[in-house]
Amino acid sequence: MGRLTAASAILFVAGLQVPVVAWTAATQENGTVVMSSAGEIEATSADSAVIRPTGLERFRVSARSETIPVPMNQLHDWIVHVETPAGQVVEDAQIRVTGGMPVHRHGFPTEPRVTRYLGGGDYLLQGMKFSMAGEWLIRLDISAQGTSDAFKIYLELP
Amino acid sequence: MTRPGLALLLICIGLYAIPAGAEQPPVPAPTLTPGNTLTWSAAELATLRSLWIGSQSPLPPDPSNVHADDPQAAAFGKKLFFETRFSANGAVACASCHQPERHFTDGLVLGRGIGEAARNTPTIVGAAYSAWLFWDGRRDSLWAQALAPIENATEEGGNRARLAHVLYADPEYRKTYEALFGAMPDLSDRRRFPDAAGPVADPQAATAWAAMADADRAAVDRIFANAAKAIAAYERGILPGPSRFDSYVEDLLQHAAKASRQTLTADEISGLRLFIGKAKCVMCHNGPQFSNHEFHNTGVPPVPGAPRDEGHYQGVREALADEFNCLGDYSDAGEGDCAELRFAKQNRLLLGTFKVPSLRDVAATAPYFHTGRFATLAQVIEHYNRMPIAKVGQTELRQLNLTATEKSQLKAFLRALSSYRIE
Repeated sequence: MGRLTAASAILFVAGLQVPVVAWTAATQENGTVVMSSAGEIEATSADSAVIRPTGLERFRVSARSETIPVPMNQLHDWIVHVETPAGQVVEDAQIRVTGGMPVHRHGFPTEPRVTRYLGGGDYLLQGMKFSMAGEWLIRLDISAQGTSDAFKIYLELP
Repeated sequence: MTRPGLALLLICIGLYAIPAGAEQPPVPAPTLTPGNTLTWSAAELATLRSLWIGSQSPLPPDPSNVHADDPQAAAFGKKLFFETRFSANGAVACASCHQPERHFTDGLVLGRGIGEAARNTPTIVGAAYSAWLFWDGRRDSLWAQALAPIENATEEGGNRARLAHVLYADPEYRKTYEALFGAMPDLSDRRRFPDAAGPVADPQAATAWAAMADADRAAVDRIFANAAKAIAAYERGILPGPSRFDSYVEDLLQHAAKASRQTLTADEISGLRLFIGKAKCVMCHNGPQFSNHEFHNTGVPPVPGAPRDEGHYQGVREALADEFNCLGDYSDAGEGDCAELRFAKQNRLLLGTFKVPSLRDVAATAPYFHTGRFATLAQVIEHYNRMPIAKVGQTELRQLNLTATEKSQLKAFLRALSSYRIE
């Protein structure tokens, strides 16, 4: 049975118990995460947000919008959580945020940035805004402890 | 990828694609209305609902203006909106270009006050929903915007000292001003407070302003800002009304096929389908105001001989430098406010971008675009259809390849966005 079938079976079983995030987990490469705007509704704290490895597996990261569902045409904040692969929180990360709509070749309508460290590995990302429906890319370039890596979030807004 | 694996994955994704949001009632099945054989998918209905006036959230607060929602400030502001004595020739008011009977526009290519303005006069209707004002977004609040035409040489040609003196000398204005904003300082000493003074193009007024004491300039600035905040309070109440499009969406949401009520014609419905589909208008003209209030480059041809217009690329710098912006001394905003300014984009992708106007009542606000050179909706649609290469910056838009019938249907739909009270 292929990886895909196994992953599907796991999702299917898990889905019977609780509403879950609509990840297409089995087809992801490291450091790329696909979200739907409703997908983070269960992730109300860093513990329950889905944490995934960055591209070169130097960190493990989660990112969630503070406003659920992700709003349109409205400034809002996100929380980015950074850990080491061993699960220890990273407290001194520099996080650069870029992105936009790949299909339309335009960036964000704003210049979002991490404004402060909240403790517990959480960073406050402010100035997020999405101005149209479609697929958005949020790219986090993370540097800490002498190393750096990237984490990409593809967000589909209806 | 194995076939059974793929099938199983698709089934799982299908199970999880059920929207988790509990705030809205389930989207109803598509319905047929008389004269319309088109049906809408669930996704299309969700888009229609998002455009519906009933989906409009309340007016965003303006923390920079503590008087923004005060009815007495609005009543005062309404008088100031029609006041001509601030202008150089005593004949120009805000209402000269923003004419209420013309949907707060003037029907001209370029605004005309003392002289000819640089761009087409935009409407004020629904302006309260935008974080940035002017075509180039060079002001970050309604009140910061209201100040600018008063001192603009081609518009009112006035200056802030003149405005202060008008308010001070008129007993009724003075009484109303002081009830709202506290006592005015004594402006009677013309050496301290010249008749005409302000950082304006007029050399005499500019020299007089430079010669004033700092504290006296601040006093005049404070009066100027307060007057503008009152005007903004009035403008916040100028909002669009429901249209036949909104009635149509209400009918759909209620499963009703109200044969007795004229909602949209078959052509208008086809135009709506194009608006959210092939013509892609909804990408930027989204939400209940039919605008994302952002800045985009739509390749509008520059006016031959006119200075290069870089739009919001220049505008954002002006907004950041404006002494009356959200972060300035006259703003009432607190810590944590002013996020639009603090996170404003400034890079070269803004070159040649202009504000997305609302399309509500668009049939009433000809001519179109910041240059005002598109006299009809048909011409606007033709521009989007052909989408020439942008002369300033770059546009992300592409040609649409609409047929003649489709263009006319799109136009019909745009006309159906007129508020009932105007039709």
